Amino acid sequence: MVTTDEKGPLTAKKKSVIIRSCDGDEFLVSESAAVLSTSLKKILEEKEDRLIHLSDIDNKTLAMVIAYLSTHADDGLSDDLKRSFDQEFVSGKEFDVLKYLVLATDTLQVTCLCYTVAKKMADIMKNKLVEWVRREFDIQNDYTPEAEAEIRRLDAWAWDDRQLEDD
Amino acid sequence: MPKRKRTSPMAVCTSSAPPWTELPRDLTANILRRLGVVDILENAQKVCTTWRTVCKDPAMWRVIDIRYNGEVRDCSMMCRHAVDLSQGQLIDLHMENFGDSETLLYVCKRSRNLRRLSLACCDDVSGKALTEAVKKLPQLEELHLIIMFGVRSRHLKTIGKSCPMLKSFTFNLTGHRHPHLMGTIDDDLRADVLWEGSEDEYFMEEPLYSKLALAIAKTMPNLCRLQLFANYMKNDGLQALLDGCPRLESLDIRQCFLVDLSGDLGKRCFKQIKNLRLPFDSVDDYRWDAAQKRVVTGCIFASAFISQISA
Repeated sequence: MVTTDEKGPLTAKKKSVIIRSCDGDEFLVSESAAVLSTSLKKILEEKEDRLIHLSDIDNKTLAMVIAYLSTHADDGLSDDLKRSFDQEFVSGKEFDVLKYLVLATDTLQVTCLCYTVAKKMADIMKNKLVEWVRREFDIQNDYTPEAEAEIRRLDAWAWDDRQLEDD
Repeated sequence: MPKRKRTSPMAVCTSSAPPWTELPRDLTANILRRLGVVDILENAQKVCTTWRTVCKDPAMWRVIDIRYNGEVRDCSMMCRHAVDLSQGQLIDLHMENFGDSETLLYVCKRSRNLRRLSLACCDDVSGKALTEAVKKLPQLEELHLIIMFGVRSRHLKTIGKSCPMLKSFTFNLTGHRHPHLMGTIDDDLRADVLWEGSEDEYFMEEPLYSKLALAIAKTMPNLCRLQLFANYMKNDGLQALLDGCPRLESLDIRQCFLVDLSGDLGKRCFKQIKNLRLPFDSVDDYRWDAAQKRVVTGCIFASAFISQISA
């Protein structure tokens, strides 16, 4: 990413930005990493301000997103290394952590990370029964019994004997 | 930047993550879309009414990929249902190991915007039905037919004429275990039991070498990408393809063992085609049946002998 060079020799040095989480922690990030987020890029284009305050992202989530951005802004790393970093990045994370992450990437518009996390969340949900999803994700079943019966009738093919396997 | 306290729930970062049903709708759609048709229809949409609403959005159904994997499910019915939900917005359809002519016609009649159609091992889809179906798809740019023995060169001619936008085409047959026997086996050695759409019936009618390639060359002049895996074409077929499809950039003729690229035709291929896969190239990245094995002569005769006595 080429930054606009208007301020003379000073800009030859790597520019950086400070990003503050909602709980007040500050992170020093290179501009080349920050602009990988479409929202941050827009803010930086509009203001001279080198301090960006994010009122809806906590420090733990922000630290993860910044680690991701910095890795992807590193020209010294090959695409293969970045890909394996992505895999490592989402593996073994708690579901709630992923939920915070996906929200943060949505707010910051980091499209590729948003996809990676969304994919990981979908992978966790794959082949799980309705009851499992409700229980693990703490989702209330807000269907009326009538509505549920109607869905079962409409999607008759789907209600095979697999539902009996639920523990 | 002004530092003011926000009172929206998102700003309270110390609380637990917002409940699922309060995630932005686009984000929920983004996650659920990745589950695939089967999981969405069987599970996700039944979890709660919010998810149901998200799953009913036609934008969720622009890509439909259904593969029958042996579990007892009516994939054809599911496919029709998914297409109904797409409300004509479907642009990419993949059907694998299931489906019949009626389902394909049902789907194509309702999907005028379809750009990419891919059919793999759909034994009950006839060539006639496919020719009828693609007539309903004026926008079709990609057609991939993998191990579809019901489709013959005469069908391809009609398909080519009905799809002037076609840029990418695939017609793959099953791989060859014995490359050296390709095209030399006597017809009656193949099998004596024929049924509609069977491999054996296909070869009784279609082994006439370059017929299929000639049909493509004649009717699909705008192709940029072409994959003809394990095809029986000879040099005249390949020559016709190079003449008839001047925009061809990518050509995959792996396991087309009857093609001889040692002469001028080979040189022309290398010159004209940017991305070329040759008959003896590796099939490691090939997903379908590519059972080419390196065999010694003795084994070839042994296997021919076994086929003969078992026939």
